[in-house]
Amino acid sequence: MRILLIGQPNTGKTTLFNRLTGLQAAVGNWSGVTVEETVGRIRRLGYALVDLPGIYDLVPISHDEAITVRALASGAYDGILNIVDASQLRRNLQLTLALLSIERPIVVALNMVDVAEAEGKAVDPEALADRLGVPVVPVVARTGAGLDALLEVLDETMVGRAYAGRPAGEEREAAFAEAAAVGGESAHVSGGTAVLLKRSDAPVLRRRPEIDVGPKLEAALQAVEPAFSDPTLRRFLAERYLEGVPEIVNDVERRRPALRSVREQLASALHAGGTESVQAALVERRYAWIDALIPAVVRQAAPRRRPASERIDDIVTHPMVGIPLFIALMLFIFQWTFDWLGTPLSEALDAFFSGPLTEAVGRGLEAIGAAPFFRALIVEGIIAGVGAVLVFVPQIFILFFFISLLEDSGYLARVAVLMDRLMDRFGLSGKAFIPLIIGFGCNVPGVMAARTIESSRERWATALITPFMSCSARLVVYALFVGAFFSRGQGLVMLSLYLVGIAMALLTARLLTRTVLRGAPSMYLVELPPYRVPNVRTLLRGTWEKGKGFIIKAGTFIFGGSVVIWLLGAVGPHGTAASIEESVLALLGRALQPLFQPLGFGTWQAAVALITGFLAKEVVVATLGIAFYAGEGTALTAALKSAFTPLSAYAFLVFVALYVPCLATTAALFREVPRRRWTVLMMGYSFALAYVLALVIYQGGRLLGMGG
Amino acid sequence: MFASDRPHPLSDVPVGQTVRVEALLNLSAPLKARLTALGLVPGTELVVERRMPFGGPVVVRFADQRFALRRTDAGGIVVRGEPRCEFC
Repeated sequence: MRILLIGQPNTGKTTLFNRLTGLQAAVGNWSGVTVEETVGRIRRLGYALVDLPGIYDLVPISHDEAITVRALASGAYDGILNIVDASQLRRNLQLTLALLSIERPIVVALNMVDVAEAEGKAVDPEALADRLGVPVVPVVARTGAGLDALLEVLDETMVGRAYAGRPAGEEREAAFAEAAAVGGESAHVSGGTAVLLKRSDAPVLRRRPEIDVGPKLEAALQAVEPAFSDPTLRRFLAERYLEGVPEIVNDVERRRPALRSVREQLASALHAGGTESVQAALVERRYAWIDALIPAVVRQAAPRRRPASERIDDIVTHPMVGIPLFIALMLFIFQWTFDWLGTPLSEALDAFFSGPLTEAVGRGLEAIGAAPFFRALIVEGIIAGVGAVLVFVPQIFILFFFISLLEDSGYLARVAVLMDRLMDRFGLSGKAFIPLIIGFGCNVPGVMAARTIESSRERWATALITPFMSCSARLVVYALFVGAFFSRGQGLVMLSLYLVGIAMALLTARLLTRTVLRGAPSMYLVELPPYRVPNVRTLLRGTWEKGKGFIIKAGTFIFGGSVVIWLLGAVGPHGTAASIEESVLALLGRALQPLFQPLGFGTWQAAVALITGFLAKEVVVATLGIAFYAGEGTALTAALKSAFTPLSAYAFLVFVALYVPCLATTAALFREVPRRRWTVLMMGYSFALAYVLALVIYQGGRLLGMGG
Repeated sequence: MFASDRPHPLSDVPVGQTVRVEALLNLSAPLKARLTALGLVPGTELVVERRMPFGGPVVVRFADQRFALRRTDAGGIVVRGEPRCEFC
């Protein structure tokens, strides 16, 4: 059994998915957290459950919505679990009604009943189920309430017998009668459902509503339906065809060119009657049906005082206070991450690695009689390389904690409103700010988050500039150098590096949207969901899920990298190198050293670190640790001080902030931006940009007498 | 000046004013499709909650949902004011 999880954006699909499958897909309180299909298994039933991006209606507008509609049209599933936000029932049911045209088992999970109740809305699930003709189970996905009942109903609905086709009249009644006769099991009748609950004596018979779409549209649908072979999808596909979903139109008109005239005649007939489009006609009919339904299924208590979310927004999106508040919030996050909490913890960890750990491992290896070569590999290669990176675990987790907090509270959607005017000047919309903020954590999910942007040229431009956001891996490099070279104003130096990245991202966006990605302005419509007090469990889990990648990377990629780099440092062109200065590593670095001479960091160690940094930016630190033969922490700091001046260190950091996206981000860009040459061009561009900027800073600083 | 007895573009509506949608004109096809799906169709009542400075987005509330629209897009939505209640 394969079940699709379908619902509108930000209704808790992924929270429900995680609850049912035990997986840990990313969740947040903004529209568009899920941008691709994720498959999990409902263990208790053995069903496959597919989490898909949210959709408002079955006519896709953005790239991620198209994924969902394609999945529905493919027919490669046995049933649908439709999640409905009880606090936004009207518009959610519009989608549910559209889904009912798919004549396969559908179960509605009525989520956020607690939120609806807090707003004074009590939804009657039984009454709703009777009118919709499908089972409705109230749940609270965040707490797990109602999930047992949901699984039971899902199972009963799925094991039933399905009747193909759209029986009408007597044939339909006979099918219902037959369904009722299948005692103890459930059954589906096309165009309606008959559910017989296993444990109840009286069978529950339900019929799906038939929504009158008007004679013109109905005639056109019936003319188109024979073009589709699957009887359970006919109505659904015919509706999407007439609505003009491009993929379906292309498919049908290649097979049956004659249908084109049906579609065009319908459009002009509707237009003459004052209806904008087929979609508008269908949506209007569905809303008319829902508006008649709602008084029968929702009990609305007297409206209470203004919701807390609106009162918070009075301040947070205040025309004057909003942006300063956002900047203050970002500064606050920086202070916690770097100054107040992160750095002291890092220093403690560093003291442990360079002191007790290194000594203990060294003594242990000696005690078991390890060969000097292995002793060196482990202490000077692995502990030095991996340790230099692991020291920064505290900062990274603190940063990811705050990013999770921003995502989960609903604040990011407000940022998309606050920053729209600014972003518009650079050819992007406020929505582009969300991928950029996520990019501070890691560029890969940042690039992926760009998928929610409807216009393709804006989406590509956003994805291409996201690597300029200083990710947590670059933070590791910054923290090392800033700690070594700047005794005062560390936070400010750090901030300046982030700002250089943002400034270059915006300038590049303007360049892109004025040249290769020129085009009409895109769609901008941002929902402001109610704020949510973040759930501590979700928050900690979100932090861990994001941060654990860093630890895994340290244990695998950086570990392997450290071994290879150390070996390159131990081996010369003619066998074992007498010293690291004669190693392959040094030769490699020296070949590139002249390139970086004008930027102030023309040492072979820096050159090698920048090359290996393409694998992952933390490797810059690991490489320096090995290349300077110093290990992590205090010893490395001392070695760096002999190779860099504060000015050349800053030029180096600016270079690291901008020079090329790492391997994983490059792969993500190749996936997300269809024209490969743009990603390639972008890599060359960012290297050149980094070079010129570092050059200007170093040479300019020298002219100003800042030493070199 | 906003007068409740004649049609206005939504972009001209002052904060706090309740209006009724008359027509969706001059909107891009995707935006029109999205607004339609959300139930923002002629006849819908909406309130302007906020207008961001320097020509920034307009925040509107309708049918218990809140959305931000660009000022230029709001200009493509024609609305008519509801007469103000004299006790409010």
